[in-house]
Order: sequence, then C-alpha cells, then structure tokens
Amino acid sequence: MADLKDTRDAKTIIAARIAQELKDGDVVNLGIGLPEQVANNLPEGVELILQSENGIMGMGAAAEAGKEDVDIVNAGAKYVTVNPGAMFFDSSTSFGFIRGGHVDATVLGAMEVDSNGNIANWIIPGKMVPGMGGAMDLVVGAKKVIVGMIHTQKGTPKILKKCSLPLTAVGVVSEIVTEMGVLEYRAEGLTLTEIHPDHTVEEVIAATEAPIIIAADLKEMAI
Amino acid sequence: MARDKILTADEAVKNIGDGATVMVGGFMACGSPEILIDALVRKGSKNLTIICNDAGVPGRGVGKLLSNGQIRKLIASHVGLNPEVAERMNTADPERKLIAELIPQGTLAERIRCGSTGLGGFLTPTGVGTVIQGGTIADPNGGDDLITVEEKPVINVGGRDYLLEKPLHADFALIRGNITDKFGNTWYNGTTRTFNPMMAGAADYVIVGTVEVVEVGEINPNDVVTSGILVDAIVGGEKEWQI
Repeated sequence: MADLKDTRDAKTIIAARIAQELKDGDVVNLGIGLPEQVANNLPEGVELILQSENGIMGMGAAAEAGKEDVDIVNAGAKYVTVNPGAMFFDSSTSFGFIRGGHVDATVLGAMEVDSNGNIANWIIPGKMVPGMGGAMDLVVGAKKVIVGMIHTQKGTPKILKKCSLPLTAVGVVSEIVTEMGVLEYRAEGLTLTEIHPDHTVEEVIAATEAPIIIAADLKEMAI
Repeated sequence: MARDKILTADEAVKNIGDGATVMVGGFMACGSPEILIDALVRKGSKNLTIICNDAGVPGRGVGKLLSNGQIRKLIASHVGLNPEVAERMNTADPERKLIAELIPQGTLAERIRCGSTGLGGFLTPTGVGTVIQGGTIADPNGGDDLITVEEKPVINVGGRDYLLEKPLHADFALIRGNITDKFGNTWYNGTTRTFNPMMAGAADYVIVGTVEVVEVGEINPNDVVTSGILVDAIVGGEKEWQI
C-alpha cells in the first residue's frame, strides 16, 4: 500500500466525497450511520431538504441536549430538529414520496454490491436478521442511489461479481463511494471514475471482485 | 355527538384475548400508545400477532409485550434495534419462540392503508427480484427458515414489473394521539403520526391512547387527522415520553 497521507478516517473521507454529489435543494434521504455524516460535510452554500422516512420533510440538525422535543425523532430514533418550511406526515405519505420518485437521492450503506447494480444490506442469514426497514423502498424509488461503504470487509471484497446475500433490490445502484475511490455504473459497466491519492489502480482492482473498467479520464478523488 | 367512548385503559383492552391480531402505531416507539400497551401487559393476553413498524425497544413500545412473552408473531419492517427479537427468534424454547414476518416499510404502511380504505391491494416495484416477491431464506445453522414469503403475482404495467401486495387487517388497533376530542377526532404532534392514521381504519376495534382529551368542537376541523368515526374507544392520560 502507498504511504497514507490522508489522516482522516475512511468514513469521513467517504462522507466528504458523497457530500460533493448532492446539489443545493436536493431532496435526500440519508441512512443511519455513515450516511448521516454526509450532512456535516456539505460544501458552502449547499442546503439539502432532508427526508426522514418516519415522517419529516425538511429535517434539521440533531437536537441539543436538554432542548429535545420528545415527539420529533429521526428514523434512527434520535431527537432532531426541523427546518423552517418542514412538514410532518404519516408513513404511507412518506413512502409515497419515496416510491413516487420525489426523492432525488438516497445514501445508504451495504454489505454487498455487485456488477449489475444489485445491493444486499438487510440480512446476513445465520448472523443477523435486522430487517429491511425502508431500504427496499428507498433504493427502488430514489432517483439516485449512492452506496457509501468501506471498500472491503477487513480485506474481503464487498463489490462482487454477484451478490451472495439476499438482495435488497435488483439493478438500482447508481454509484459506490469508498475510501479508495468512486465507481459509477455506466452503460459499458462498473467504472472507476475517481481514485483516492493514497491508493493505486492496482490496489482498487485487488480489493474488488467485480471486474471494473478504469475511466479514460480517471480523476483524483474530489475531497 | 354519539355514545360515550371514554374508557379506562383496562376497560378499553378487556376484549383483546389470546390469539388476537393487534396493530400498534409508532416508529421505534415514538408515537406508540404506552398507556394502552401497559394495560395489555397487565391483561396478559398470549399468542398475540402484533403488527407494528418495529419491535420497539426493551421497556418501551411493543418491546414491553415482547419482554412479557405475549407476542407469538410480529409483523414488522425492522427488528434490529431490539436485541430481544433475535434472542426469541433463535430460541429452542417453544414458549419463548417468536416468529417475525418482515415487510418493507413502505409496503407495510400501504398494506395497512389498503386495509383501511377498502382496496383489494396495490402494485409496488418494491421487492421485485428479491425474496419479498416469494421464496425462502434458509437458516445456515439448520434452524427454521428465516424468511418465507408466498409467491406473489408480478404484474407488468407500462413495461415495469410490480408486485401485487394485499391489504392487512386486524382485530384491534392501538393508536396514539396528542389531542383527541370526545368523539375521537385526533391530532398528532411531530413524528408521532407514523402508522397511526392508517391503522385507525384497518381494525375492527380502534382504541386511541391520547395525551389530552378535549370537548367536541375544540379541535379545528383543519387539524383533525383521524376522524372520530374510526375510533371506538378513547383513553386519556397518555404521557409525553420522558428522556
């Protein structure tokens, strides 16, 4: 491995890069965990309309300790605030927004992603059965599906030729952002479009089971 | 306006017997009627089928029914934040065994809405090509199958495949309001609304646990989310959650 010059942890690098994908005014649903960090890394002047599937359009920052409204939580059951112009709604309405294509992008993690844009992130038989929550609806309904994840599971590839775990959805992923780079699903196939300066193309290929095309205009990761 | 629907929590749940199917509103217990769940725990009905977005958390929401061993089957979209679910799903003890049926959250909400609104089902792209379309996921440890879904009709509309998902109905619904008038008209605060409005129409007997009971006419008709025509019993004294 090349000398690591970027001292930020992998999740921060991923969140910072995904934040570049989102445009001012986009309606975005951020999954629990790493994707939540995207909101803290937005460029100057970019404001998102955050949708929380439990019933908020226009979610704000986490609530300050001592100032929580006990009736306002996000989909991870954390106390949050809402921005001016926000709306509360029921779960049926919420998923109407999602399936109806009114959410511009969803950012979520994955256990596996494959060459065909399939994603698996809701069950590991024999280990954990957390359930899909809103993920199956979100990846089918959102206009853009951005997977943010550590490139491998402790060295074992997660970007596969074919997912081995039960699928969340078929052929829905738009792009994958990892600490090593950015991979886009293009007409010609899964394509490495950006690479983190601490890594080489050979390292990315070695860490990826799926065959990948190296973009002719491969860029340094924009972070 | 109409009969008196104001009951105590224990009176309201008295007909929820063993084996009943009960919908419970809320999302990770935010919007769950704790006062009604507590009464159902006191009543101790067993072998319940609970339809709720999730399993709540230990000590809150439907988590209290789970800990008390009252749930045989849980129909939910997500159960990962209550560790007791995995323990009860995996146990060899038939007395503690929990069956969990997992349904995508948007599909769960819409199936309940169909049950509420007289629709025979709906077509959704969610789940196409996954086990939700039909099939099983085996337990590699040799236990019962983890997921079993009956094959659903796939209907192509305009070139896109959709699954036919059918309505959900229950014997009882336990919902939570913030302000309810004595007719049952109910207003919900913040993110407590969740599954409550759909469940209010999807069960034979609907009980609202509410923070504040007011006189008929005190809620502006513009603010009524759930009509009193859907509500059979009203129980005051629901508390705001204490952090």
